[in-house]
Amino acid sequence: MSAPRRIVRPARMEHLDELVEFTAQGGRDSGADSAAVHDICVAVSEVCANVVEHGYRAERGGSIAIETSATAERFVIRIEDDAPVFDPSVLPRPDTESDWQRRQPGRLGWHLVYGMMDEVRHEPRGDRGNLVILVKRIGPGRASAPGAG
Amino acid sequence: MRTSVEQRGNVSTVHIAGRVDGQTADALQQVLSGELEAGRHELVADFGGVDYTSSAGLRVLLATVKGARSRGGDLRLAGVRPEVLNVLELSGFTSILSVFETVDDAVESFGGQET
Repeated sequence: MSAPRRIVRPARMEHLDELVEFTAQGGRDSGADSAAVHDICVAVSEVCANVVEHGYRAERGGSIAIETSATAERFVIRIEDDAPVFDPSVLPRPDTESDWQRRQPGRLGWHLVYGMMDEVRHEPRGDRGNLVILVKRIGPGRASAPGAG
Repeated sequence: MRTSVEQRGNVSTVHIAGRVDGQTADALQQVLSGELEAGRHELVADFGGVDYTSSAGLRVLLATVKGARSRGGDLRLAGVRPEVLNVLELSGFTSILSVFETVDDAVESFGGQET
């Protein structure tokens, strides 16, 4: 099991690359292959962008904290914010079937998070704030994981 | 993310490298919209150098394909990595976008008209 690593940055889009790369490096250091690292990047990018765009909205001064840890088989990402509580599991499915004229791009973000990761959990942090826990299987058992491609 | 545009006949190929996400998607949108506004409606997005695309990138692709087709053109993808293709499939984008193995294949699919 690897020791937890943690990063905290202001919840602004300009820090997205740094937050994603921190998590991706944690995945690489834990033995995740390039396909798993790709999926981790997509999921973390989506969660953090949602926090910036929809969580804090116009509020200033909010932050995003990411902590990563791993066992031989699981890479675990904990993403915390202090934005209003939002449970992504209540979102309706996005439109993935309409023809191009009618296709609407909304709600794809969380759809991708669920598709890229093996486990996605949300926990409110009291009256305000969210903890999102993402788990990606790594190592020999990964081939059977949903979303492994 | 870095982009460069290459013109071959009537077809504009936008080469994209790096991460397409909430931080970079606006810049990609500007490049693709610039091509449409300049009257170049046959577009190829070379995804060979794309590390990943998030939903922000997918929104750009959808807006661009709608813009191109409404003007009689199209946006076609080329060189998409398997992991990125998985994102396109999961999002239902492979049913509305043509994906080619190589840039040459995508460019030639427009009919190869030279100006």
